[in-house]
Amino acid sequence: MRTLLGLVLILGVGCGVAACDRQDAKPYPHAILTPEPAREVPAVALVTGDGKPAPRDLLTGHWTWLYFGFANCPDVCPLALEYAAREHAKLRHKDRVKVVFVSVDPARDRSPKLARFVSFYDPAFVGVTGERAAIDQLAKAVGATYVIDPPAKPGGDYTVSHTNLVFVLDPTGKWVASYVPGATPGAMTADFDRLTQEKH
Amino acid sequence: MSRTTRFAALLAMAGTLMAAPALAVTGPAWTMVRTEDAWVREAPPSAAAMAGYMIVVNPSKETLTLVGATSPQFGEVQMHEIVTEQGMTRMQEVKQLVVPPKGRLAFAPGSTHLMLMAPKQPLKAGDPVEIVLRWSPKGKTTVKTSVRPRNAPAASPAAGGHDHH
Repeated sequence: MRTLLGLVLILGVGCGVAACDRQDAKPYPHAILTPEPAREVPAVALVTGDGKPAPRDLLTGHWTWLYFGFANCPDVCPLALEYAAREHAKLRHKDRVKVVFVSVDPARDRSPKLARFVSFYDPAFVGVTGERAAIDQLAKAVGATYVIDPPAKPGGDYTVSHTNLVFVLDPTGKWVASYVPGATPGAMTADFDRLTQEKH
Repeated sequence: MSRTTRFAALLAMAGTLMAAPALAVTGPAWTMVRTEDAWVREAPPSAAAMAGYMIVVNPSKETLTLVGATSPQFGEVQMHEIVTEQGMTRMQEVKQLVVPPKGRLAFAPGSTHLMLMAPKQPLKAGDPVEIVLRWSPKGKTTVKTSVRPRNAPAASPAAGGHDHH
């Protein structure tokens, strides 16, 4: 009887760490996309709006929700940031997930305005931008694209087209999943509560 | 002109004559327009543009064409639609929008919206905003609304109202 119980326990544990993980092919059930395998994201030099170098551990040592946008964006980016703020606020382990907003519009956002815009949605959110090459390298790694739309009048106001997805990087800095902001309320909270519970 | 076509022309004229008194009672179709759930998304004080939303209801039997909007609180108002192509989301200005007969037009988050540009002064939650919708060939609908705090539940109706000019 004891042997049988032991066997059940061994099988049970074995399932918990290996077999069940394989069964559970979707570790991010609400993600719209999960790259297989997870993709390396290059360490690029980014700066905050006021020109200070972004911390080296900006994208590692914690989960990152990464978004590409621009601070003059009145509808799409605020919706995404509000969604991220709501999901983040409900997380069981908020400190394990950092939200990083990358402005693809350094011409206008290399300014204290960037931090004001991003922190408006949550004071813990980080806004960064950088040289075009650095932004492009980072965007390319996760499959994000953007285009600075030509202004209607020369020198006039312009808008920016960009991928409207939240990219998730794991604590090693690899891109592991993408989410559609706002698609399902509670989706990111649910997935991350599960992840941080399982992986500590 | 054959007898049939002459008769048809007469009928058409009669139709016009009959329609005229009805118009006199109700006024042009655009005067019947009403708006619901108008609100302006709160933005950081440094924002160069804010987004305005509302549902425009056309109870008339005529198609109405919206050709723009203005606001005393903003230097310029544009109508924008959101287009997603090849994974990229883009805002695109539209010069006119149609509200079908007995239909409605929604300016909604993540969709067609009013882009309120160049605020004359920074606006915060609760500040009043007036938006004037311009109809073609003529007519205006003034919508009185306010900036809604970003943490307010989306379902809560903003203070709203409207009148005609």
